[in-house]
Amino acid sequence: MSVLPLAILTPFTFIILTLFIKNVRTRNFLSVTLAIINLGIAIYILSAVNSSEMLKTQMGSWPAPYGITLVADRFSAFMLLMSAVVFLAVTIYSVQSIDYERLKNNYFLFTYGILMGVNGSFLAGDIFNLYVWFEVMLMGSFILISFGGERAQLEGAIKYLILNLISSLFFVAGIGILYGKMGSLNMADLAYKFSLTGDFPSLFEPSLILLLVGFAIKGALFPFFFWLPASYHTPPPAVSALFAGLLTKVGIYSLIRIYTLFLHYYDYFWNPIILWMGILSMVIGVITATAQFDFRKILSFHIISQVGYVIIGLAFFTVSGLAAAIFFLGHNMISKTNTFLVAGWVHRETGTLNLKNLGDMFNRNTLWGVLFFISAFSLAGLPPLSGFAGKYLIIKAGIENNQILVAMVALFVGLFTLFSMVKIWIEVFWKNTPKQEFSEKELPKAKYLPFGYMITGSIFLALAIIVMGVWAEPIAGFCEKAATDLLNNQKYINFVLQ
Amino acid sequence: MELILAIFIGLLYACGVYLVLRRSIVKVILGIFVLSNATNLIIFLAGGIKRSGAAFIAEGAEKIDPATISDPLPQALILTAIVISLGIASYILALKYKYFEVTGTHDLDQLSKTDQK
Amino acid sequence: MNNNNFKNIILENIVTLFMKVMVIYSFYLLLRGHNNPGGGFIAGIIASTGFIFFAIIHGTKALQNIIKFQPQLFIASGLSLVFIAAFLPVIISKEILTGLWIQTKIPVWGEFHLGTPLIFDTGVFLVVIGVILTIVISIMEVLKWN
Repeated sequence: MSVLPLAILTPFTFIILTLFIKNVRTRNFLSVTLAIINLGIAIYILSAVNSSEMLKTQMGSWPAPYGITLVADRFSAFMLLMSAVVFLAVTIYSVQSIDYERLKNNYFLFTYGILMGVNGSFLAGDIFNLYVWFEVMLMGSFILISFGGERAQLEGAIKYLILNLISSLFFVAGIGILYGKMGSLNMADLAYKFSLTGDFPSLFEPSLILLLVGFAIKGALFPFFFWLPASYHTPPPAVSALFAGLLTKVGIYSLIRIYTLFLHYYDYFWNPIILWMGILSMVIGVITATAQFDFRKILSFHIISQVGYVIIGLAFFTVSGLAAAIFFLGHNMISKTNTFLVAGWVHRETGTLNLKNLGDMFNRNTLWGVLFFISAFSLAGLPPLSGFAGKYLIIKAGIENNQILVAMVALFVGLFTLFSMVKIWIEVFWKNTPKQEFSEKELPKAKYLPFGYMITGSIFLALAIIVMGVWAEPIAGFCEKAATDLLNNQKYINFVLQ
Repeated sequence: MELILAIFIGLLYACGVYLVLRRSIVKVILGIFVLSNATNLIIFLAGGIKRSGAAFIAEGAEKIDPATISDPLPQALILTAIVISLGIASYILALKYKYFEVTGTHDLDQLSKTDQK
Repeated sequence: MNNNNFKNIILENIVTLFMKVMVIYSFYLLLRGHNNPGGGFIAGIIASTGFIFFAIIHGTKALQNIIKFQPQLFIASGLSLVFIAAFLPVIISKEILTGLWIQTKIPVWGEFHLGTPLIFDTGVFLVVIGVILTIVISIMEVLKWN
């Protein structure tokens, strides 16, 4: 029996158990335990994939182009591991951070729904199956974003909901047209059929454009990003940390998957689109972030800009570019989530996230300050943190690929990222608390926060960032192997269809 | 038949897009329902329409001639999409109700409260 | 709608009968599934339509008395059945979700055919009923349709 279904069955088990269990403490305990088990499974899949190249499961023993296939190559295994790390940290954090009312209303049921969707999308070898996992993930996120029913949350939820539904419709319409043209839904089979068609792109462009737009909305790429900063700052901080870590990355993962499997056959058409989407997301995300004065809003805009780095790595379409993209994706998941976790702590301490009203948080709790420093400056790309290695790889790939201008843009965007992070650092942690003229009510007094669940989750992620920065070389080597596999899509096709 | 269905789908998409661009939340939601139905019809159309039997193997027989049955896969896809849109429809209506209860407005332009910070 | 004086005895009796017929028919559809049109999802939809009619006439309290359990429990038990059906083949080292079949001859009945897809369908049946009843009951309670 293959191990792959366990990655989906573990969250499913939790969902069943939590419907029977009424006690909140038992549920919390169970959720943390299963998150650890999920991490264990992800590590096991990674090591298995590393030794045997790829794994697959044919659900129901139906052979490949007809049945539903689960495939894990190095890239999916890496993404599974990263999402498991993020999920474990956010789960530990949520136990303390989420209020009792939400926990009682089965908060963890929906986070595990998201985990199930995310794991499923990383493993899906069938494009309609990918859509179904997307919907599982989206249903969980729809409920979480409106969970609790505060006014701001509902406004964010409506924006998030409508744009994501439209992206799902694009996606599924694209799948329908693709099926009509190719007569298959298995991604390996599709790629095989595309490789036979030769130079005749116009038939497929409508469906592929629909797919691309669907993924670009999910992944918040340049012309379609506006839903993200409008909604990610509204739910409770733990929820926005989870969203920031997992949701957009699944869209990017799918984009990389379909690009390497079949879009690249019509490279002359798709490559400039992808490249410009990446560059513009990078630049526009980071420039709009400078004008913001809300902690989580700045971070939300930075999600867009960092997704752009991954996409230009993909657009180079060389081993070094794709390896850099994969590394950067992993780095971005953990660093971004951790900054949101720190934002959650600031919110809990002071009740506001407006930079103008905040200040002097470093003196309140030094450890949280250090945690923010690690994650934010990892985003900005300071050595020896993971962001430095990620940016270095991207820019090196750009120079090797003769895209000097793109590499320059990436460097300048890094500068602006540093500016935003320094701004948050100074405004929130460094400067003195401003006088009362800004905030109407008195800030609550500093609470003594014991060594609780929140800080454990955050420390766990910070350690992951440091590990990824210091031991960047073996990880980058692994990413390089993953990129080689991605570029050699014949291997994937043969493995799935054999 | 294909042509009629294609024109009809185009009309449905036009209606859906028109409704989604309205200011009232109710109309936006209706627009999304119309769009999802149009999308289901696209899958149906793309799967090929022909007059033929259901994809069931007769009692006792081992296999069936593929030419005599219509492709069951698009129907399965549509069924899945319908189930998903059922769940989303109930959620979105509940969200709309809650939103109206909290804010007392149907107007999408009132959604800008969280943006101006 | 909150009018307790209005009672229509014919409507109430008919709707009760109607619900029973629909639920029994849904079991028929569930069992003929797999090789004929029918199956867990359709059966669940039809059964819950019967329950919805009943709830519209008698109110959600009466409905909850009939179905005895919380709808959430329906979802949970349905999901467990799905899980069992998916996981049973793994125990005898086959791929997940593989259909396992038992074929025996029962004297009066004739050939008897039973397998994990039936468990799976029953799970889907319960989940569909649970989900639809949860939705309908909560909407009716919020809108005070009793």
